[in-house]
Amino acid sequence: MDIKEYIESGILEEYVSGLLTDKDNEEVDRIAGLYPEVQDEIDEIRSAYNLLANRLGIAPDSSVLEKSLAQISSNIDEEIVPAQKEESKDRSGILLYAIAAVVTLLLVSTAINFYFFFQIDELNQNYSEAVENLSVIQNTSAKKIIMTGLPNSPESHASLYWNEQTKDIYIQVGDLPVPPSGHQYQLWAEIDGVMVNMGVFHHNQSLQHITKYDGIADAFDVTLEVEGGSETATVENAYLRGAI
Amino acid sequence: MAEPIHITKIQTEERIIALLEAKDEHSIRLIFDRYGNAMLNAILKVVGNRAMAEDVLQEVLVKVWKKGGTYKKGKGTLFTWLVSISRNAAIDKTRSKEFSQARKSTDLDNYVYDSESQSQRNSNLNELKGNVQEMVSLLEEHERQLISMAFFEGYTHNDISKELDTPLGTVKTRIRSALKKLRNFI
Repeated sequence: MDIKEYIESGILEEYVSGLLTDKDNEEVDRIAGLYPEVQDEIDEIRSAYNLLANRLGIAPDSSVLEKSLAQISSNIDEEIVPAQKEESKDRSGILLYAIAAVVTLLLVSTAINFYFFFQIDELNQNYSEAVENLSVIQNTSAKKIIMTGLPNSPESHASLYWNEQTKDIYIQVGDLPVPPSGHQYQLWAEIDGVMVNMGVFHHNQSLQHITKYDGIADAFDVTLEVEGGSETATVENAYLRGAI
Repeated sequence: MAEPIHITKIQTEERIIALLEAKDEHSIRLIFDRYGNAMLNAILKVVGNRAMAEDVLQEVLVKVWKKGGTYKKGKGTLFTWLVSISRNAAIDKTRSKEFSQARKSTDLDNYVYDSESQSQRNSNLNELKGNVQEMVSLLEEHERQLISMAFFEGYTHNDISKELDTPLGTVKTRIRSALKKLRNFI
């Protein structure tokens, strides 16, 4: 089998995006099991796919996960409330129906206008932030440290920028799991095995200023801590590490 | 003094399977983070409505947690199993009363789009797309469209080929090269 040709056929992109049939998926699984380079390619495509979805804000809403977990926790088998509203059963007359239709059209159209207004406003804000973020990333004085996932979440990653002149530290989260309620990620500078607190940050923001740090470090680490941060790092909850 | 951290790479899927078998809710978080986009895309392909697709994904995550222990490794990976459950749940949804009601409602929405200011809507959409596109400005217009259709709108490469009247081979090559550009950029 020509593996290069197989990889370049485009089938792996369809596989990763969930669009192949069960039979085709099983065939990809079989080949990936035989050829590690196919599995590596799948992992890379998946990583790019997930990152792209997060950057563009089109990943599934986090409320989907929260509602699922709430349902699991309460172990209640109640039906999920659908997003769509039930249609009115009142069809007593053509005139009434027509009036209802016009009012509905008006409401829907108003809702659509509001929706787009807020979407555009939000996207403009995101764009301004993206331009600002780009200047941090492109700053030649900034040292970039790639942080990779630890066993708690091997797929996680982030980039850390440390400006050698201003000493500002920024983190750009690539992929981190949603923290459980009441918890937050915390950044640490590691010096001879000692963890020095740099501050907490949000998992869902792409680039954040953490602090100014004028010390030395062998590496930076990210751990999951209680909201607001801990005084000492909980190393068993380490998610990311990037050596300097 | 805190212990330094040592890196040992283990397979994420195996970890998720072990957590699922142990009925640990963290498995669902990992599945959502790692495979949520693909599962939503698989569902979206069937139901064609994002709000409803997210409802189905919510149902699927609960189902996966309940059925987690029944997953058998022999037939395919966990990912293949998850995509299969997602697609079947989406197909079940299309047979529901809720789906046919929603479709009527969608038809009504489409009617509103047509009867309201179509040009205003296009202008809003273009502006919306324009801003998003700035973030992936490395891509050509046709590449952006392909990426969006293939990864976030549930179109198979074959569907895209028909929809855009472009040879299947060209669609596959373009999607691959666009994703490659993004991978290098990311």
